[in-house]
Amino acid sequence: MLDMRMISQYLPDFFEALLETLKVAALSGIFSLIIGTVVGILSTMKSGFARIPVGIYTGFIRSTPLLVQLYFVHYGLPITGLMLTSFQSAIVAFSLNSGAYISEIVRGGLIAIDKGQAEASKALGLSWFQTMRKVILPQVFRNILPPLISQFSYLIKDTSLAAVLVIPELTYTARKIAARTYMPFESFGVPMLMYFGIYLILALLSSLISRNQKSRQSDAKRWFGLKKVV
Amino acid sequence: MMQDISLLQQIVRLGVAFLNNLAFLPFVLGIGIVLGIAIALIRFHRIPVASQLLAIVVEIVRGSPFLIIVYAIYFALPYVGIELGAFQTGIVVLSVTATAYLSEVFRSGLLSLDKGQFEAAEALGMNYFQKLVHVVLPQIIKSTMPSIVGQIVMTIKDTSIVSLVGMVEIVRTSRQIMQLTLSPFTAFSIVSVFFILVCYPLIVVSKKLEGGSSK
Repeated sequence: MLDMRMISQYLPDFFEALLETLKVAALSGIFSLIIGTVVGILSTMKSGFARIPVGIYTGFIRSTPLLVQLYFVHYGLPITGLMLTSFQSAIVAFSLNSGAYISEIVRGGLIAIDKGQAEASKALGLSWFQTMRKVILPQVFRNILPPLISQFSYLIKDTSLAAVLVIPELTYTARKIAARTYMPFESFGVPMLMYFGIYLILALLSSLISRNQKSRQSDAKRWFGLKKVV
Repeated sequence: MMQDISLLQQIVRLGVAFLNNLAFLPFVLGIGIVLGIAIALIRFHRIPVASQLLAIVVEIVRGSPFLIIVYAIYFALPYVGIELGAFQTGIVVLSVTATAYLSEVFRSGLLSLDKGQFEAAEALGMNYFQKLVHVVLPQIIKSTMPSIVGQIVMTIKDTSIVSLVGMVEIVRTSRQIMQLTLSPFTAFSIVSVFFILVCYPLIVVSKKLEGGSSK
């Protein structure tokens, strides 16, 4: 049924494309984590100066298709004089998109941290920046690791839109090979299995970590008789 | 060649094109909910073979990017002798993903349903379909409402991707306009406003529902 010779012939191409996909995802992932952390912290601030632009940013990203955001960056930015390559446009669009979702995860994590933590740090004479870096954020990131991994798994799927800008990642390569060989099942089957494999690994990792956290929490409850463990 | 299209003209043309995006919604939602509930029930009752096969298909669809599913179906359908227009292709690809995601939503709804509900319905002498229609479905539709609304938003946003396989809708139209006017910001801003007008209220509703049901 499936042409194994064709698959083995094109397997190196598929793997090369998979690497490109992972490269785009990793770069966007790092930038979106930075954007998400900064925006997430801003969104918990009391002043409207910080919160209103943040609300507009996350509202815009969540309500419009990623494809439109990608076009905005790729076709819109050159008008402002900023020339980007296709690869750079894709990274910018994916980072801004994923950053908005990460900011909401970070925001949730920040809200979940007991206020006493910040007060105690203040009492110890730590500055706001020290409190964030040494006390609050380490706890936040430990708690939000499972949803962050899920978000990264969405990001990997979203990078398929880079195909629109002719970046030789997995989806673009699949389409190219399908058009060349007229074998749609093999051409799309192999990349879909690759995406599926990554998705599976990340899903397992995420559930493993959250199970580990839960058991640690119940351990803490048992040992210390704490009512609320962050 | 540069051509002037007034702002009002652009808004009208894009608004009309956006109706094509929204036209997908009733079909995709109808198919997605009916098939999603069917798959959820098959997997909930662990019907042998069917439930395992469906589990694999659902997970592969959920694990794959929407665009590659679109391309795969677009290329594979003519190969197996099915010729569909752009709109029908769109309905197929959007329904496949909506069904996969909704089936998981409904399955988690079924799993969180109290067992006593089934037992009480049984004690009342209800048959399987009566139980389903009068007891199970009203409750899981209600409890999964936030996720259903979230899926509606996702479907609306995904309709833009169908433009990549020939569907003439708002994003494709905006690119055509952009090539004439050479001002991408105007065209894409109008597109964004249309999406925000529809999607943002739905996101707010979904969040409200979520807050309400968890109390």
